[in-house]
Amino acid sequence: MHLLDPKEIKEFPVFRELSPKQWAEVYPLLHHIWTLEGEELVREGERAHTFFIILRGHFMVHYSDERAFTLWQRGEIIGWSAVIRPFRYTANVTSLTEGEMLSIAGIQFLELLQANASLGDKLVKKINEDIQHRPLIT
Amino acid sequence: MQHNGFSMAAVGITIVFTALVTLSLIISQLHKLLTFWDNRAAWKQKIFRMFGPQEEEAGPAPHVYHVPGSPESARQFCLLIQATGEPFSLPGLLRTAEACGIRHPYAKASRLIEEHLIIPDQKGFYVWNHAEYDRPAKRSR
Repeated sequence: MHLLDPKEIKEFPVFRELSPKQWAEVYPLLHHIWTLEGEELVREGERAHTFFIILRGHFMVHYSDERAFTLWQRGEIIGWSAVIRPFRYTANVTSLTEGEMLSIAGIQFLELLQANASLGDKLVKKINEDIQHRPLIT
Repeated sequence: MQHNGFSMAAVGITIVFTALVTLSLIISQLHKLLTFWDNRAAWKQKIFRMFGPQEEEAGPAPHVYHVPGSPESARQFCLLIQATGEPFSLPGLLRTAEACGIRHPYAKASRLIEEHLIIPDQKGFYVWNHAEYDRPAKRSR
């Protein structure tokens, strides 16, 4: 995480409305990860163990019925099922290019959201807003 | 002559044990090599940051990694799409491209999407942008 600018990450839509105190609780949970071309990040139906935020790269979200859309905007989220019941991924996600992401372990993230209602409300609201703008929802 | 056998045995044992110790040292350190291989992308980034140009000099980093543009890629994908028909499934196209032996099909498809040669039909499928591909500048690539 030390390679990234926390102030810039704080300005991502999903984190923008957090107070400094809330941000201080979320920031230590973030991990900086790298993805490879063709890497499968998420599989539909599997237990949603990780929540991702795009830093760089192009990612394909695809469903078992062959529909797909792609995400590449910095700050967009992948794997929202990690914090929303039934905690199962609803799509597959494949990295089309090499990429960089922030990841949060779903269990830790969920524990934090459950322990802090105000923080949970803000983040889930932002996640829902992001999902509503997705071209395909199953 | 009587002592030759002992000497040879001693040399043999020494060679075998030296080889075994060397082998065990290599095996004991193998996990470091594997860790390095697993995190090669991260190491590449670190090395680039250490020896590459400073960010201020290089300007803001692009948000998407690119593979070098290739007119061949566009032609290959155009032919594949003609064969499979439109609209097509993006994951299906990538599977076909892999089966046909096209190198880096994911990165190439990404590039074609960025260049608006592969465009979504808003129903979850994709079509080839013939108008864009047939533009003189694109055709000459």
